[in-house]
Amino acid sequence: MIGHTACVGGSVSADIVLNNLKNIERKPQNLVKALRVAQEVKGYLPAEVVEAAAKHVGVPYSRAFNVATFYHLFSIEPLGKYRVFVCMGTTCYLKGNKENLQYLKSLLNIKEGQHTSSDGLFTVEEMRCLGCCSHAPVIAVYMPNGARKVIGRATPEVIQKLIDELRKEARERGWVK
Amino acid sequence: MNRCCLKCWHKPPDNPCPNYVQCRIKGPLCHDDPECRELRARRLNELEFGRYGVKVRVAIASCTLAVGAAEVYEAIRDYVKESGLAIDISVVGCHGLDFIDPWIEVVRKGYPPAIYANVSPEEVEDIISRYLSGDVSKAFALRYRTGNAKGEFHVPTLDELVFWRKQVRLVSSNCGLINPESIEEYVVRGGYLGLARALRMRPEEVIEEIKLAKLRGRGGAGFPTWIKWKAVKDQVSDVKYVVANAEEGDPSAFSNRLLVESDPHILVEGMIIAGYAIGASKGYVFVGTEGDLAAERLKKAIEEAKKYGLLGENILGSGFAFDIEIVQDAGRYTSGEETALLEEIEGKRSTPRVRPPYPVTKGLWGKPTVINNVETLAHAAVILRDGWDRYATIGTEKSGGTKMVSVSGSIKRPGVYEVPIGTTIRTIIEDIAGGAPEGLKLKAVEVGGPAGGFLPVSEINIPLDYDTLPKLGVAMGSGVLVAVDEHKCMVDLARQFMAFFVSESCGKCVPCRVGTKTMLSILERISSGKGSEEDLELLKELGETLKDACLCALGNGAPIPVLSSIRYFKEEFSAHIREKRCPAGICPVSREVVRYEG
Repeated sequence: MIGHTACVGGSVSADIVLNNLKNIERKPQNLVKALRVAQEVKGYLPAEVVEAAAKHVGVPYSRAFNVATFYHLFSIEPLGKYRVFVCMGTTCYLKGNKENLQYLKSLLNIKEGQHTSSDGLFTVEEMRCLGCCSHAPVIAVYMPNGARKVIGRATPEVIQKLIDELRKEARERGWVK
Repeated sequence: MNRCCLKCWHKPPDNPCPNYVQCRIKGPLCHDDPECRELRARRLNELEFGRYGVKVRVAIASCTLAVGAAEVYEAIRDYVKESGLAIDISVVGCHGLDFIDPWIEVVRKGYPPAIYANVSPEEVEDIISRYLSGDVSKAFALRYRTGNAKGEFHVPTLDELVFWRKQVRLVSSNCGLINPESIEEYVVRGGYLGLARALRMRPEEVIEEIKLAKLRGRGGAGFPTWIKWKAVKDQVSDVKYVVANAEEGDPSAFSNRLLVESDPHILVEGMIIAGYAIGASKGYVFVGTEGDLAAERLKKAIEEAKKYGLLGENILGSGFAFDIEIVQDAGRYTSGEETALLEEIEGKRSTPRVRPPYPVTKGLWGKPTVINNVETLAHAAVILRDGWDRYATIGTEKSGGTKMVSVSGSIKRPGVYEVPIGTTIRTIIEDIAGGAPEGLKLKAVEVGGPAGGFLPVSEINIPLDYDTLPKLGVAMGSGVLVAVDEHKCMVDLARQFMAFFVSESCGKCVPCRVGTKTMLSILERISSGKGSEEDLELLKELGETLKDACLCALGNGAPIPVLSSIRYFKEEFSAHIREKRCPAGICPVSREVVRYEG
């Protein structure tokens, strides 16, 4: 487990993740499915969680780590409460998401090479394509409750309004001051 | 939607009715009962116009949800509740006319069904009350006229609109019309008739039907579907699989998403037919990361099909058994590659396999496997329903039927359109999608997704088919068309595509892993004004190497956007190299840029 983040922060313990894995049949082919559930419940995949998923489906930790570090949906580092995806598909790129991405990162004060805001609320990532190209440029937010919100025709104004709303929600829930 | 009356003695799975589907449309068939006949007629009427004779259809799909359809749905629900009106609200999928999102349709018996475009929650009350007063003048389009509503002759019918008239909607005929979560609505529109017909044929006759229909794979390669099916059928194996590829990986491709979200049963039907033809009893649908809604609706479709004896044991009394499982991708471009997705279904990294052996001999868990794109399987259902002879009259000599194309970019009417194979790209871009928006001029069209390539507008007078496009250095791919206007820079776009491939390359083979990175650094050099003429030659040489040497089609296709840009827009590359100038003013040619060597 060298180099793999140990379980930090978050209110969800590895036990709760294990509990959620119960519904998944114990067979190696369900590794991706198990990691998906773990990612959703825990918010990221620390070593303990990957190990729990590996044990559950009956594969070595090394193979689970190999898979956990391959797919975009998974992160072995802690992420912000809100995962904001900026679509960089052809149409969204042409229609202004390059500028939107820059705007979003500067709005959240996220430096080049970084992805998560310093208050731990937002992680900004580029995404391949959301399939809503007719309403490009598109951004998507994965909410802490697992819901996904897709916003079409995004502009800096739309993005600012969205971030304001999410910040307000975070304050109301006591995640930030 | 079980037994029609007490006189019907069928009950799945032990005693299913072989004529179940026909019975739902014209029934009852196995007995004669006026009361039952009356009940059936009433139910069909109810499906069309709702329980009270008035129904509002709200399009709920990923596309409409991105622009506020959920709020429109809530507004309608609240209005109906508060006003106490006797109206049914029904969720439908999407027509593909994305420029009218969010849209709703109001239907009332004896009146023209009216479609309203770009609806906001505030307008809902006015739209419905006006419609109920017999005034359709504010509608965007009507499905047909009845001659008794106010203003109906000022509103076009769908068939009068060029973007509808020029389409041939075979696989998308239910999209935007039926509730994707209602098997009953699918069945009364002829759904599962193809399956019912297939089960009365021998498997080899089903394959012959697909052959005569000239169906070719809609996922990109255009491989004749019947050859694949026959190859798996001829394998001797205890277990065989059908895999439906619904992981629409190509950026700007959204026709599969729309089809599965709007009409999941057509995929279920196509898969069962494929399973029957090749002798498989298990199928997997591989859905993309963003396919939550598609997966949800498919799950419902599978459950319902099982409940009504159309899936599971002894389907329609034929003795044939089939089951379908959904697997969802965890996000990777390579996951859409046919052998890589097998790896992911097996719970591993989605990296492509070395071929041969091909999946038809050694596929999922080493067993013979047919992997088809979802649209291909939907076409199979249509062919079995309508017969090959009718299907083969549409399309070209070598390739029958239609293709759903996703049109986006600098275009007036973005959306998904189903056109006969062989329709010219110009017809799709200019007539159907309306060309560039006011004040803009088109320069290029990206055809077929990232691995497809760019064509200049002067070249788009060519038919969209599997044989003509490769001659021009592009491919039909997943049916993507992205319109690029004059204010965009082709060098920048080529660079962006390569950046995409660099971040998405799975790293398994060297040509792709190293080649894409090297090509990107050259393109960055050109776009920052530091390129040379030799760089273009180097790009071409590298590009040809990738086309030949990569392990999978995604790597083979990676250089095509660059190669096609150099082929058709050389002057833009020259401007960056010789004049140190970006004609569109996008690339950082004149600015000092930080380069990352790595």
